[in-house]
Amino acid sequence: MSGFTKAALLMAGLALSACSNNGLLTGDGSNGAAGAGDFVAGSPDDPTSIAYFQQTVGDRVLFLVDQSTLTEEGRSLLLSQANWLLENTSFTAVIEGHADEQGTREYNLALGARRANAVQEFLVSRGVAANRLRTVSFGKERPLEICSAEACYAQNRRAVTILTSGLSS
Amino acid sequence: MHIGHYISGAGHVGLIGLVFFGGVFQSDPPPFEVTGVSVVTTEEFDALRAGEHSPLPNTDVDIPVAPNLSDTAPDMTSSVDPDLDQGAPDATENAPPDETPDLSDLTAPQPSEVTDTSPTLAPPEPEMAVLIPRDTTRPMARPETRVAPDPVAAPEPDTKIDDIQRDATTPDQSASETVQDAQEATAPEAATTEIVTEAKEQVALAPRASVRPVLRPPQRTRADTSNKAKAGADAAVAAALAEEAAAPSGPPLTRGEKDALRVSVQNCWVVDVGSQAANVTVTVAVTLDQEGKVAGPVTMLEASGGDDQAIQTAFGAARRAVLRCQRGGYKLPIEKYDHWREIEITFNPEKMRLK
Amino acid sequence: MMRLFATLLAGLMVLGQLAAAQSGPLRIEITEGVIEPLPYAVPDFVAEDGGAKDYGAQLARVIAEDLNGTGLFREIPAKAHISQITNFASPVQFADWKAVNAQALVTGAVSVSGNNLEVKFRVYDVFAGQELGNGLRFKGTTEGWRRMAHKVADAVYSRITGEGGYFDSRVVFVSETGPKNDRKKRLAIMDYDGAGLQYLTDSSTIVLAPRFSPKGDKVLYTSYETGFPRVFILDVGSVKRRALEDQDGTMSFAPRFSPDGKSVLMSITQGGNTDIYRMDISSGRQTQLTNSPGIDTAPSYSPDGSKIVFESDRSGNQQLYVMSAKGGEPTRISFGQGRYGTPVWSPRGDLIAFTKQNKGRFHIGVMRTDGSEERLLTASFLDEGPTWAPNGRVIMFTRETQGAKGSSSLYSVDVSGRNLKKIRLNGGASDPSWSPLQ
Repeated sequence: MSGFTKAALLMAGLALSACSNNGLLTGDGSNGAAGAGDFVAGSPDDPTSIAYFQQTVGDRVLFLVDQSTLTEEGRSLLLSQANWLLENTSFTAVIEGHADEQGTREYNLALGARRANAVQEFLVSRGVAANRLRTVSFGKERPLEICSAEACYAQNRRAVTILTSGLSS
Repeated sequence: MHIGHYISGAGHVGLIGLVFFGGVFQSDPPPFEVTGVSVVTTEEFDALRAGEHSPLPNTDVDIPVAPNLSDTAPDMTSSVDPDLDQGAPDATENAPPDETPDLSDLTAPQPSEVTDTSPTLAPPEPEMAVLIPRDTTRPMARPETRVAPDPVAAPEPDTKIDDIQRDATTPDQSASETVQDAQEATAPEAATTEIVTEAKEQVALAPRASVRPVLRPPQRTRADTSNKAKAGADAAVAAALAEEAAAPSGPPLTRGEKDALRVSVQNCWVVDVGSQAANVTVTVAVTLDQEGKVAGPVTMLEASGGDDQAIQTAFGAARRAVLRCQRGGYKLPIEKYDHWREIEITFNPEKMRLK
Repeated sequence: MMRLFATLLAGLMVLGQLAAAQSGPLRIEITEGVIEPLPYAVPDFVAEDGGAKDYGAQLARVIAEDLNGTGLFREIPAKAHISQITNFASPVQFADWKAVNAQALVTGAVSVSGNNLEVKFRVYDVFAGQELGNGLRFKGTTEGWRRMAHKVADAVYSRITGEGGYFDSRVVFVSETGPKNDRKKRLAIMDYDGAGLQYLTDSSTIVLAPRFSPKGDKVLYTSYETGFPRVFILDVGSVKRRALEDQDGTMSFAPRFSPDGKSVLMSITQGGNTDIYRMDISSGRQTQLTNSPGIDTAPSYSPDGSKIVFESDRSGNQQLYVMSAKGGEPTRISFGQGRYGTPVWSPRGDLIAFTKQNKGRFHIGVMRTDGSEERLLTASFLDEGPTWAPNGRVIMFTRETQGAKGSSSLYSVDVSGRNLKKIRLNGGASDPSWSPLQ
């Protein structure tokens, strides 16, 4: 009993922190509510959970400077994402594209869109239904790491696949 | 019959009177009446007043938003983070280039390190070549607010800024006839020769190689100019002595004499290089009296390269240059007065355009 | 002998005149002048009644701040003045002002009746001993005294420089708070000098890159209100807003008004490809203007509305292109080293301002509309997003400082590259857009 409660609390915490990091789409509320409501049941060990997707499958791919071409590493990770999405058909995803700060604002918006699109196209080419995937770009508005050095920039040039339960909406 | 003569006579007397005294009336200073002030129309007035209230309360204001605006304003200032951020980044490596151009707003010339120290410097030993003083690594000129054809080091603190460089003189008892008035030491305002934008400045910030300290040239330039000034003064005195005898027509001006005039006018010609007027070449006509002072109005002969406004502005700058730099009168040889009574000066800013 | 010598000398002169030995005007040409701020004086305006006492000094101070702030003028402090202006109607003692080297003089008077303020002023060319233009009178309310001061300063600026002023103008921008990875952004509006700050949106969603309409009454911007970047239009007076474009599966951003204010250029991204579209504001009808597989964005109309400059990476990296306002094949105009973005056509029509990235640094620069005569005005870790003052003389832009604690501020610089200044504001600020003269 107490073990279960602990696990559930941990799960909820993870889900919420994941949301606060990545759930920027509609602002507050909706993602957090969805996470707490629908996905608490799955633990990171549960292969059908969002936590599993984030931690084990991997929810993000990185890009080279001013590039939107997928790296070898990125392609193999996206292959796992595609397989997971094919097995867990109740989820839809929004792919967020991001850029580092070394670029003008509007160009970086377009660059982020291009990165998100590269991920979407790859997933579709592996059989994921196109209507389950949407893309959005945040340009350089939401860096993950905030130093002004390549170590941080490399982490910020990313496309992140954010899952939502298709059943909830 | 006689009545006709009377009327005619009275009319003529009146006319002649007007011819004689009309000039006197005209030479009165222009009246400073408030009637010259143009009046704003009611529409303009209303528009102006309406403008004062913008942007918020005029029309159908979305009421839920209004409290939002006023409520959240203090929110901004109470947030501590951005204030702290403001302070910190200034200390990073970006700070120096950011701050220097701002300093250029200061009008007071920097007290000069240059002229004070140079004469006492001993030639450095060869081993000392590596010891570059840390604070003088920037090989480029300090950004001055003034850009002029000839660079001028910042003057010594006591020196009065003037357009002409003069050495301080005191009445010299030993010199017999030549009486010179005591004069305050003046120097031209410190200036650099080019516009140093931040982008240009950056290039030089990190010296690629250490610079071998170069011996400062002895202050020959200074000495030279003061000699010249003295020579000029002597010449002027000689000219003054010769004045009564000299016929007002002589040989044409030498190149040196013309150059001296050109230089003295260009020192007062202020060009706003970012303006449309900087595309305008304007020629003005000036009449000088025998003392070299401008007599009568400066008139525009021709202008090209801009619209009316730009031309008027360019003419205004040219006129100010001629009027300001005359001071006690342009120094020109009196025996050649016929050659310089009428002068046409062309102000051509082509070389000064932004590059 | 003398005559022979004179003839020889005349022959040697490059611009030698035939008239060398005869009388006739002496001709000289001056090609080098000096670049320095013009010294001027603006004594406190004469208070014509008791209620106007404070305004007299305050008006003169704001006028002086405006003029000094251009870098083109230098005020001669009141303590150096020889004569005092105690009566607006009495003749000016030009000799006294010449003696302190004031080249221009501004005199004025102010009176108050109830809530109404009346300001009148004259501008003089001291060395020419004459007035520049006629006196002017402005009427307004006491609470609008700052705007009246800006209007006077604009008139003074205009009479001395021969060009329009920019002091009675506003700037819409993005006000920023919070750390880099969770920055709160909201639209704000202020006077050009940072006074009179007001917010137009709250900070619940990301907002980017606002642009003023040609009349200054509306603002276009990009907002994440719907979860996706969308172009919005906002009425400055009522603060009401609406999305201009809300097509599913796309994002729209980088909106700019046409010179007539009736249509909008924007970038629309579909399937990773970004092109430029024109949209009629009233009908919502869209026309696609570019069609390349690259990123085409940051468009800007020429002031006459006939051409559009924009950035595109169709060549492999960001460069500037000019095309007809109707679309069609564009001409590349940027060919220097590095990447070029965010072109903005100047209100005068003669220059294009841009952001340049080269060797890890950012610059704000200007070039002619054919791409020639490129000049870089600034350099820093991150400068971007230039906007022109209404007279095309000054450029404002965003400067972001480096590092984890980096923050954004607004800066302005003269088109000559001189007079770089930070706009005084509390908190961070980015993406300025300058209004027309009000």
